[in-house]
Amino acid sequence: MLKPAKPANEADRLAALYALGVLDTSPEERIDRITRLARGSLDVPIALVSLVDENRQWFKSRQGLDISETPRDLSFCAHAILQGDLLIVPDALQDSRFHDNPYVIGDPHIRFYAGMPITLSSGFTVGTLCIMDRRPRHLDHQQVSILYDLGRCVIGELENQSTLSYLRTIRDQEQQLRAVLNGVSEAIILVTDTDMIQAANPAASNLFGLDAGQFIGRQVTSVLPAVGKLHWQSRTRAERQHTRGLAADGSEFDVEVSIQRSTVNEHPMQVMVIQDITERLKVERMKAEFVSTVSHELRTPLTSIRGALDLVLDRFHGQMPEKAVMMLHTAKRNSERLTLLINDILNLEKLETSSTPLDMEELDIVTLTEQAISANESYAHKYQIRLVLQDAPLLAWVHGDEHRLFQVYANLLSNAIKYSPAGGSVEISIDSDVDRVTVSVRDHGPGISDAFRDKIFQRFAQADSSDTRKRGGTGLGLSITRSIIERHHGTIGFRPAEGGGTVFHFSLPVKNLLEKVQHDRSD
Amino acid sequence: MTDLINLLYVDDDEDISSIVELAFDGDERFHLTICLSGQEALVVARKAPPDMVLLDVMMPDMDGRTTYRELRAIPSLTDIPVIFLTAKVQPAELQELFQLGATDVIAKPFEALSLPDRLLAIKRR
Repeated sequence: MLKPAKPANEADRLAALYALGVLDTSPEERIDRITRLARGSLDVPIALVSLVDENRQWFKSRQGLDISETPRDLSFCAHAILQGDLLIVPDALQDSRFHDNPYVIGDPHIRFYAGMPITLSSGFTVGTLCIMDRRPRHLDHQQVSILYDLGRCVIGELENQSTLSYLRTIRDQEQQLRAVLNGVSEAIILVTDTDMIQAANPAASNLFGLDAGQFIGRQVTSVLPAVGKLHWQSRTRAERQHTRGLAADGSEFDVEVSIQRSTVNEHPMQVMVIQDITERLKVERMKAEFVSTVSHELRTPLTSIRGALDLVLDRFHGQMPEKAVMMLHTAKRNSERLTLLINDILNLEKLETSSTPLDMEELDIVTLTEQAISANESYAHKYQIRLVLQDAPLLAWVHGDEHRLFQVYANLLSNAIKYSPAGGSVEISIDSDVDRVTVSVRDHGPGISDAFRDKIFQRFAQADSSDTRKRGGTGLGLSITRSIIERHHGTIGFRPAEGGGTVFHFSLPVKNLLEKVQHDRSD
Repeated sequence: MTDLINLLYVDDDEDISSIVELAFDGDERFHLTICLSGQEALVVARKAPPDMVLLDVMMPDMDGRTTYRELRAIPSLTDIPVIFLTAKVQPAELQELFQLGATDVIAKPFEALSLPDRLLAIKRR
């Protein structure tokens, strides 16, 4: 027996077969009708539509045969595929390829075989329409013609079925997509390169008070005047844009728009996702007012408390018992801590309010680091710690808010100083590569416990509650630090240092890369 | 020896006023007059024009901003330093006071003991 070789285009052939989507599907009358016709008109006991995959031939339709598939190596049809045209085996026992085939010498005792390849319009042959007999025989010219015709019918049915199946898939996907578009709360519109709105979801209809039909063909300036005025190319420079939306009734409202470029049928398009932020801005304003008021209400009595303590300690120091002085110092220290806490809460509130702008400028991070070290020297001296700038490039330009980045240094350095043993040092280093500059601050403290690792950047996180008393601080410093770095499109993290202690590190995009990222986004 | 500075301090908070009073007590560089309202401050300022004003922002009836405008309208007070005291320290809030014409702004809570030196430094500047 000769095992059928695999055709040269086997991988593509299999892909075409799988794409048909008919393997292992239920029998279908329209295909069965053809095999019945083949069996009857060609007077054979067996007629099959056989599809040959990687390891087997599987029968989409079968007349006169009980089994639904056979191994590919035993398949006659795999030989027909290889041949690429009608394969006729008048007597299998006389054919060296099949004479000892188990299906020839055993059940169903095939002697005659004729297989008409099923070659799709893509040019790939995926199986056969074949007929078999248990006795040797020949096909006359008319019978061959019938087999050809029926083979073409099978191809037509399979391809129609494939097209229908493809259309069903597309329809399902379209329905899923529509369900998503209809379900999202954000308004979504599709805008052509001539600024014409081509599609809009129900949320967009609700937001702007326009029916879906009224959107189509409308200029984007009619609903987003400021966005419409922007040049097409420059619209996606910012990730999200705050702007004003204009409803059909002429009312205006605050929206946030994110714009993604896309291509539909080779036409450039912009997908605009629009969110009504009126409520959000209102809440942000209320929150800011609340924080401002609370801050005022706390600061005013604190002024009295601190002032009174300062004055008593200064003016009446010698007239009080030592323990009373000690208590007054404790009260003063805690009033100072409360002041810091109020400042930090205000800071965090500002940083987390998206509308608070950063004062961005070109900064040399090396100079900034040196200045920060210098500014924290006296604090380090108090704890008997040396601040050492180890490695640094000559220059490393970033785009940043100097005051805010100074806060980052103050937080990281003060933490490192507080947690390092007296007499030791805190080492600072700067690494710069093509796209990022990384500043590392290494302390020689006790390290960070596994349990605390996940919480370290959370608000009011300190390793244990006694830390607040032992080390001072508000528990907001690292949370503020992370907010600042993230507002700079940077990253912050920490790792255990070799030999003990912890390295905190933050990375910022170097100025050129940031420009490049923004430029790329606009393309 | 420097001239005595007539400082007019306006604040409705009696606790803070008494602390400020104590902070300036015995300081021979300043003569301190305390007013507990904007209206009172205007009367005092018209009678005895101060060299410098320390003005709380949040006050009932006449707040610090209104008091400031009224004080500035007094011809002899158009150029004297006016320093605001405020517990509202958001950048926008501070900026608004400077835009109004504040010589400086001192945030609450402040260090009472160093207040005289701080005001003197502002006056010299």
